[in-house]
Amino acid sequence: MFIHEYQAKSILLREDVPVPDGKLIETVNEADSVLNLLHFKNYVIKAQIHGGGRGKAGGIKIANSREEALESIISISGKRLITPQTGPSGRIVKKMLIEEKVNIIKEIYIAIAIDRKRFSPMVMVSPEGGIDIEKGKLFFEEEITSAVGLYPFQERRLAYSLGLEEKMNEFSGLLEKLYRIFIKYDSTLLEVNPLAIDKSGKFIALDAKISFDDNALFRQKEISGLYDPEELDPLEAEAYKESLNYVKMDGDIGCLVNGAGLAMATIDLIESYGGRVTNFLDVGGGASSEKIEKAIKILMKDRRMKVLLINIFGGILRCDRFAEGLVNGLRDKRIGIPVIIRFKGTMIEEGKRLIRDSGLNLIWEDSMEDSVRMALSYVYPDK
Amino acid sequence: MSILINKDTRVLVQGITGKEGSFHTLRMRGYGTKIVAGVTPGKGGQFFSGIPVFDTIREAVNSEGAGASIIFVPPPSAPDAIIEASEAGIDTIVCITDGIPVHDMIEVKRYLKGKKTRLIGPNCPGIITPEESKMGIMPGHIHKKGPVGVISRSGSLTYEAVNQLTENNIGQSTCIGIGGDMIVGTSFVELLRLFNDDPETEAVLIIGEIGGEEEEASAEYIKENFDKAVFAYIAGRTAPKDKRMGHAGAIIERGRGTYERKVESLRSCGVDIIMNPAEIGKTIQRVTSKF
Repeated sequence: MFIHEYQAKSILLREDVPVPDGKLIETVNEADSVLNLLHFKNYVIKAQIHGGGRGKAGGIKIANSREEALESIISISGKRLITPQTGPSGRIVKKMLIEEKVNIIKEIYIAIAIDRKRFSPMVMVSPEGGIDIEKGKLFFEEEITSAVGLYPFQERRLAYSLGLEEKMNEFSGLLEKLYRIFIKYDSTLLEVNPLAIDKSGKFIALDAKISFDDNALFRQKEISGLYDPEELDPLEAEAYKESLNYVKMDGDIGCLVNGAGLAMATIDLIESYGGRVTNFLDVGGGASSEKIEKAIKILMKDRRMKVLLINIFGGILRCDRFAEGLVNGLRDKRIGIPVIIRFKGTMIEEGKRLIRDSGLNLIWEDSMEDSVRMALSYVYPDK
Repeated sequence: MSILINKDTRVLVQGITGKEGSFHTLRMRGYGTKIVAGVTPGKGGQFFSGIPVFDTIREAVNSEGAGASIIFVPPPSAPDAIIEASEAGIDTIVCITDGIPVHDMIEVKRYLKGKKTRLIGPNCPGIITPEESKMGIMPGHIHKKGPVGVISRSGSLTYEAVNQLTENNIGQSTCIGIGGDMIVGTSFVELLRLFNDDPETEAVLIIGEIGGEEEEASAEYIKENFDKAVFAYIAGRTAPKDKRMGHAGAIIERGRGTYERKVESLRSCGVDIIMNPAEIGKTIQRVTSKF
């Protein structure tokens, strides 16, 4: 799960990591009254969307007066920002953070992430923090092997690599606070970029991104409350609520598959024959029939869909449970489009019987290849 | 022969009385798996379909001599279940549970470091040695005994691939799904090593997918050490680029993890890349018939 910068900063502040002074506004109407409360010399106006690269897309503006700040707010509000991290449809700016501009002496990159190769958390730093970090070459990392966190020698090593030997204790303290946040909130990524050193020599987090483990939200009630459904497409938001792994795409063949691997393979096959899909949807392993029913209902809301292809190879997902959900999801509905089903796996006979007995009119195919070709023949009859 | 499990493997089921645990216990036993015990805390002394149930793994191991365990307990208790099994001396653990928090799995990995226990999963279909033993949730009937080892990061896509193999009359030595989570117990490379030493495995099929570095690491290993035929299908060729937050992911991966990089690295060490997921069986049949 992702959260906004302003939410990440409030978590940092609570754990005693300094962030710039600032306020959030949600509409332009609030701008005047909020600016009246802030008496900054210089302002930074920052669009609050999920996804980095905002600066280059025009989502961050510096203002040298109250008037300029107001102008910036008006120009950013409602703007569609497309960055390398938002996907092609971008995000509409609904919230903005107004902050005091910090006089920076040095910018550092610092992140705690999970290293999939070593199966452990790691700390990564660079003395070249800022917007072009991905192009940077100078990175130093330390693997966190102990549950307690970095060892003091690792903290020292990072400090030396950043040229921070003068601030050794302060830097160690900061690393420890960040690691505490990472653990306490079941974070999968905590990135401060840049971490600035200001004129007075103090560390201050100018930007922060925190991602959380969806699997841990059951014990992170407060974090769950920070979720912003407006950052997703409405169908994606609805699917997320049901813990369905759904991504909207831009074609016309609907796809309902169990398992991310098979879903990707099905889409690869469709696209290799020139088809385009409306979505990626993995209903997941032990899905209940209720969850299947919801998945069907979400898919059927997509008006772009000209044909629905169902490819199920049940393992822990029992075909009888799937069939129950499918029948409930399609019952009492004018389906209106052809539904092709390829159905195999655990409890298949029971599953098939349930569908046949329901009277639903589906097109049955036995192999993945045939089902894909059949779907394509409805969308592109001339091919 | 086979790897990890065979007809003599004595299996215990953690969470045997739960909904999934009880259903799949009967299917595994029906397939031929030697299920010798079940564990559900609080239900010790009972029997599930003739299988003795114990409160603790230590008791189950002492009484029934189980060497392998399959876990069907819910995510919050699964990490503890894994560690309990390892502590009781279980050699091979399959964790089916989907949804274990990443931080909990990091702790499990710390515990398992240096131990003899091998963990497969979590969030995986499990292991099957066809016509001998099944420790998992895969449909057993699509498998057939034979010379091809299968390793995969997926569940249902593995069934698809295996089904195609069997339809083309190609049997499997052992099939393993390592699980789809960020942190998994056993990597592809460790399984390739086992297949390398298994005289009955003549070729290996890798079912990979975009993200992570399993396939790249496999390529490095195959180049240096592996002398059997290897086939690979990688899912996600047309997947849209991940929406992501922050830069750490991109910095850590440095271009690894993409479809192109995986295919390129596997192909460069002689792996036969299968482009069309509907032709996995046919391709392997075509190549192996020339052996």
